[in-house]
Amino acid sequence: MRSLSIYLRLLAVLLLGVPAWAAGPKEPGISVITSSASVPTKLSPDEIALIFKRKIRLSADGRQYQPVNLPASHPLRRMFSLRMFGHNPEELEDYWRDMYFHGVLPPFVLVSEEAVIRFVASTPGAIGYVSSCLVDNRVSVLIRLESSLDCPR
Amino acid sequence: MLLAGILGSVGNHAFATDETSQDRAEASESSYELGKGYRLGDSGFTIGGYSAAQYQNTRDAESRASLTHLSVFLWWENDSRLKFFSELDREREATAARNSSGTGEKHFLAVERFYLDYSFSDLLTVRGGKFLTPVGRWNLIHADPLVWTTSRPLITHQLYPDNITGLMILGNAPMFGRQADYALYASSTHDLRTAPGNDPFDHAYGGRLNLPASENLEFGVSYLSFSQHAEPNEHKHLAGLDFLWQLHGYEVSGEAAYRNSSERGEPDDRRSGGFIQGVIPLSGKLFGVARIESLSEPVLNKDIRLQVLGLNYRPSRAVSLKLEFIHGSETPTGAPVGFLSSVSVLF
Repeated sequence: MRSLSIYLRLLAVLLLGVPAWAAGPKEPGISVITSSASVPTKLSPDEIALIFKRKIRLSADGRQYQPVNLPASHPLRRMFSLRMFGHNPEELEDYWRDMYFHGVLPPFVLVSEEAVIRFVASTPGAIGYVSSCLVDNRVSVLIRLESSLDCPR
Repeated sequence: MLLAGILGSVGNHAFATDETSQDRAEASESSYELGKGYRLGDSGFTIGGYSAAQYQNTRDAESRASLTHLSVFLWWENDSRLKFFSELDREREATAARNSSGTGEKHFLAVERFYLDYSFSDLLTVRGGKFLTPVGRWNLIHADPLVWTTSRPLITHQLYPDNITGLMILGNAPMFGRQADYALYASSTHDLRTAPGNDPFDHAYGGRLNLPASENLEFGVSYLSFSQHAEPNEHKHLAGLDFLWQLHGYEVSGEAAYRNSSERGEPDDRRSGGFIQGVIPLSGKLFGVARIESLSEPVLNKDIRLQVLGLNYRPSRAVSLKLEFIHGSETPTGAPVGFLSSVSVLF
């Protein structure tokens, strides 16, 4: 049975050009991801939206959440913003201007989805989002959102 | 601590070896934009602020241009539950003159805010120091680049002092399916470096609740009981309501407040008023603004009414250029009637 599995994987490499088992499931959509043990594995979409708006800042065990964004022009950021807040990033500028007056800054911006995965995987309390097809075992998925975007891989 | 933090930060950037550290460094270094402050590396400190210059041509004053505010924020936070925030403001003396017809230009370095927060949870943060009086919506975001008009509605600065020095508990929690913000506060101490011309609190206590009704609509209710330094035996009570509706660049907001006071048990000096303001996008980053406001002072037999019509051009998130015309009746000294314009920058 094991050798059959190996043959199938080799066949997949030959046909598809990539190791089929190397990454997670090739699902469409956006996955909100976190590192392993530091964040409760169950957060509702509303809670995640509030974390990204810096209204919820502390987890139940007192650890600071560290949400990270992609650049405002990134298609995935725009889709995430519409799905989570009902607004595109530009429409949230008034909100962040007011928050800045109180010493609250928007989430850090990382330049790529791979950078988000690396940051989230190694930072306690970090929460980010990437295309579901890029998710691998370095991170765990909190929720999945629908998206019409193609997988960037 | 600041020096150690900065040195630590420099070290972190200089010797980052793994990819994650580089990601963090990139995130920090690319994070400066006008209107978002400057993070001093990984020290936890951020510095920012705003400035505003104004030109006024009003009925009771000579035409003039002036720098009305140069305000600097400095705050510190890291992964702990503590946060420090300060705001120093070089403002026109007698802030008073914020709307006014004063002659001569004197400036004063005021401490607008200076406080330390300790967060037990999102539900409960304890704040000690000097902070903005949590009444209504305008006073809490009164910085020039954040508001739509150069002039400020009368009820947001004539019924209570802008700042309070004392203790506050604040936080947010789910309520009716939305995240509500609350604040409860008290003060019985001297105000920290008040600008000349202001009459600070002698003692005060109060609370505020802000409840979003939907993604686009919020309501607030405020209560404040207080006395001021000039007349410490006169106890005043203020109740206020406010709302904000926003959708695709359109905005309607308003505040209403009622204040009474009693000296030796006699009712005296009742005041009430409100404003309602609308904003519409005209073209690109140009917005039209209209506001009507009133302030009644029955004891003085005054019923002030103002109408404001203006334009606000926001070429970027941090810059705001405003032009407005104010028409009014029974306006008191200090309420500008005429043309006001300003440019303000959040940095």
